[in-house]
Amino acid sequence: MSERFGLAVLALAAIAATLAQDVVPGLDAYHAWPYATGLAFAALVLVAAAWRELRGGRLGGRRFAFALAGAVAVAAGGLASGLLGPDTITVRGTPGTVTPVPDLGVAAFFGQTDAAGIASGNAAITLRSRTAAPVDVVPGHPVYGSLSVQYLVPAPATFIDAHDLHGNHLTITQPQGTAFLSPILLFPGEQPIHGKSYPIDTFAVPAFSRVVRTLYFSAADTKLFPRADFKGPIVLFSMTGGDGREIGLQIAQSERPVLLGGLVLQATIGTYPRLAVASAPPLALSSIGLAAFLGGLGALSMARRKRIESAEISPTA
Amino acid sequence: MLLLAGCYGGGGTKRTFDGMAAGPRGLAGAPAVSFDIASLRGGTDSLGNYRGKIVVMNLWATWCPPCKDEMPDLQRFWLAERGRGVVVLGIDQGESASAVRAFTKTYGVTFPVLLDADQQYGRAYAAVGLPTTVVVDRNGHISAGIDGLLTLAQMRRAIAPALAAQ
Repeated sequence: MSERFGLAVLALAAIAATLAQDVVPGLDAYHAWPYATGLAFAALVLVAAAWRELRGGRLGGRRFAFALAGAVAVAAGGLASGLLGPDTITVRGTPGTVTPVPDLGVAAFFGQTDAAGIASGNAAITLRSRTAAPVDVVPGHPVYGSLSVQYLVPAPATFIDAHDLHGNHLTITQPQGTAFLSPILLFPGEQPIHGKSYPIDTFAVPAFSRVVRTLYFSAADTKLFPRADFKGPIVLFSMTGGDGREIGLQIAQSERPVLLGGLVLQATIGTYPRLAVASAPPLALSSIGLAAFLGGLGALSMARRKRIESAEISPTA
Repeated sequence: MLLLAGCYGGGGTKRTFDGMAAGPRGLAGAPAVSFDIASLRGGTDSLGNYRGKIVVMNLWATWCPPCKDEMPDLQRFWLAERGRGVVVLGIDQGESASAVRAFTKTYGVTFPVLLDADQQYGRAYAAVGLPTTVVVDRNGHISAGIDGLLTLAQMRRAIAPALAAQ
């Protein structure tokens, strides 16, 4: 393996390690010392090699040095984002509410939604600050800051509809939740069952003095109920009365009303996004560095080809 | 390089936090959001339709004892203040029209009442209990947000800054 080949592999590894922050954002590893020292070591080796290439007078030395400089730029961005970028945070907010995100100096407006929006999971979050225009973060489209990326992570959510036996709609409250008057459960808690944790939340129907603990089971987790054939996620309602007396349990599939404790409960099961903030290398630096790396290698390859062609032509000239 | 490594954490930096409702008090000064929802009189209505007036928006429900206690004063307040460009807007949280209609008949409510089936106003105005009262000034900004039952005198005090600002 030639020295240049080895350096190109090292440069590629540094670029890959940096761009991993964009492809798989939010890993703890990006903020850990092995990642930092690895990138810093690679950058130092590449800088030294580029210097040698510039001064060595080898064929395509400047072009290869240019490629290595591009890789160093990318690696420097990765190092800076790990060092100066924000820690990975996930912000959970109730639809229609505002939550400050001090790490970014913005307020996150969690978009209003309804049962259909929970079912489709297409709600957006808007970031607002005093100094910049509002930025909408929508599913599948991350938003890049100077050393950060903001993106949406879908999380289990359920919209609860409650009626009495005469069809009268009833108020849902969440006395222990982050939003008192929200019929949307975001499952902030966890309930261990057989060594695995399942999302749990609680709501109340004050008109009937009912408190309902609600466990969420994803489609994959419904195998806990071997006799049933559920096609999607389900929730398990566990209802108590105002005096703490157990009233009963009931399993509900999405958009299928169930009867429990004199109430008709309908759960629309889907997702609502959480806002994730993670470090990310500067997009412009990564793009320029990558272009320089690929351009430099391309130019080096062309120079070699020209050299071979001229060597083939010379003997017959 | 060691310096760089020292600046990094040892990993495990992930955090999750919940946006907590700070209560309606913290909303003062913010623009008032509005949603088109069903009106007890039929059709739809919204807070935004009352722009230019001082709106005393009251979030309530028929099962809520303090809401029942507050309702006669709220009706008296509406009758006394509507001549000064003040509107009382009752926003029931999540109940059927039939239940709300029976309640308003019992308490002689004549101010406009909206039916917030999805409890959108309750979420957006950070209610931490019922009743919740939000005063919106003529420019559509929140002048005050108050958790809990208000007396007639407290209602008058709540709109005083918005009235003085005209």
